[in-house]
Amino acid sequence: MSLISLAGIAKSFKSRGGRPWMAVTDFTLSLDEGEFYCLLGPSGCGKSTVLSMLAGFTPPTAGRMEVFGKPVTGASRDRGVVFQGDDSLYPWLTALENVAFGLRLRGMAKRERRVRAMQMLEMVGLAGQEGKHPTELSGGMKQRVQIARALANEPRILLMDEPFGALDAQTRGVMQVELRRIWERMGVTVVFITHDIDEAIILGTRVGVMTAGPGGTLRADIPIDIPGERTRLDPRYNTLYDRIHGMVRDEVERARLRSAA
Amino acid sequence: MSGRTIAAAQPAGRAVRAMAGLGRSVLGFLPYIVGFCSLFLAWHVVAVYVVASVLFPPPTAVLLRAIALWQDGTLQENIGVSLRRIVIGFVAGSVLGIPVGLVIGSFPLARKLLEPWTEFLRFIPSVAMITVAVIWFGIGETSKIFLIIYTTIFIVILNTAAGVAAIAPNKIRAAQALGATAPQIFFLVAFPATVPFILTGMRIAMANSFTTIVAAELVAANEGLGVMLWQGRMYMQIDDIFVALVSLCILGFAADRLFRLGVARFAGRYDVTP
Repeated sequence: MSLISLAGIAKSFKSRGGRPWMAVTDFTLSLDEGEFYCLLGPSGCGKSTVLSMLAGFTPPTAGRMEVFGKPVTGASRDRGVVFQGDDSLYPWLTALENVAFGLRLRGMAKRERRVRAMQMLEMVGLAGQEGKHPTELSGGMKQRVQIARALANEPRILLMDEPFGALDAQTRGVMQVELRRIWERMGVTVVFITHDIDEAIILGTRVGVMTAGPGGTLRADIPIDIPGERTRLDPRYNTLYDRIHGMVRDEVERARLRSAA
Repeated sequence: MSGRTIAAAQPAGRAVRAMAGLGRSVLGFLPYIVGFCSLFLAWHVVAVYVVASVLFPPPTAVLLRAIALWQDGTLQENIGVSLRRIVIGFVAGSVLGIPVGLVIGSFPLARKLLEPWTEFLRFIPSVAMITVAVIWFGIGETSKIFLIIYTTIFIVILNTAAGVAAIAPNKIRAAQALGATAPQIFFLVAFPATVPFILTGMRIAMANSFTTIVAAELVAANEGLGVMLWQGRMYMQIDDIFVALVSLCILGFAADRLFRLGVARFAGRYDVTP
């Protein structure tokens, strides 16, 4: 049995005029334990909505969604979330207190959670920054705090919504390498939303390409079978890049035509 | 050789740096002091050379009168009375307003139930409530404290509720994904995230409290700065009026600074931008 299974998931919202519009239609996907799934698609295709439903923040309007064989009824500790921006961090807490927040919620003793949070900060490369508040940290550091905060809770699934989207190219590259290393070490299942093809190929064990929105669905599901460390010089990287790029370009073009019509 | 010179130069260097630091902070304050002095200088010039009337005393005359009033104890008594009313009413209004604002901001049902109250009553200026307050509670302390509570509570409620509404949804979602229960979200996320808004509301309420207390004391009271103003008019003691006015400036200024200092000291971590 798969870890995550989505069958015929759809999500519609009501627009201002009261007419419903589809954010996601007929989305079917199943994921196994330990995968690193990158969901790729042009902006507005509904990929963040899929993640939001997986996290349990918003229920789907149709379809069946199960995690560990049980229907999702709301947010839960076994699905950690890393958000795109830094507005999910708590500015009144230090980096350490932010990371320890989930442990505090479940009543872990102060000394114990401090030790755990310090380990997590060390793992994401923030040793020595534990006393700083989020406003004193750079964009990359804040995303590291978010990752550490989610992982400190030992979730079985880590949901990441364009976590590196707001970072500069250099920082993003470093963060990608480190995320891959953390994933290999922790054995957590990752669902990673991105619109960056390169990022998806460098990180994922599988890449899902979504059709253009509104009402996006899964167009293709491509396994990335490049073992070990991935480089952009690998011919397999280039083949995959061309193939996925072609699909995304098609979708962007279709979206453009649809909005022009 | 060179090592020794450096070692010898070090303490001197530290002293020089400390001096430079002190100099910088004095220099930073200097425009402020100049600004204050120019205010009193302008007052003096206008009072002595432009208006030149007993109806507009210069700062020196006001200062002398203030010293005299201080020596016979009336000044500190009136200040004390007004200040006590403000502090009690302000604290009570904030303590009552914060939870109500949190509830209004957090629960849509509570908002619908309570908003008619706040949205209706807040348009009655506290000054307009003076008559009612005096009829209900007399001219003693109760009516003054009631009016200060009245002037404080709505601003604090509105700011607190607006603060709750302004919380980034991701802050709540992050807590949910970390396993937070609804009470945990309320106390550990919504409340601390709202602190900057609460403090802003309290600061505005503090300024309004000064307006209200003077108006209330002008109309009906036995003591306080407002009474001092009123009696000054009755007996044409123009210097007394100015002493009361300057006292209000100093009190208001000091209260605001103290509040800001307290915010920076105790709530700096809540990312308050004063």
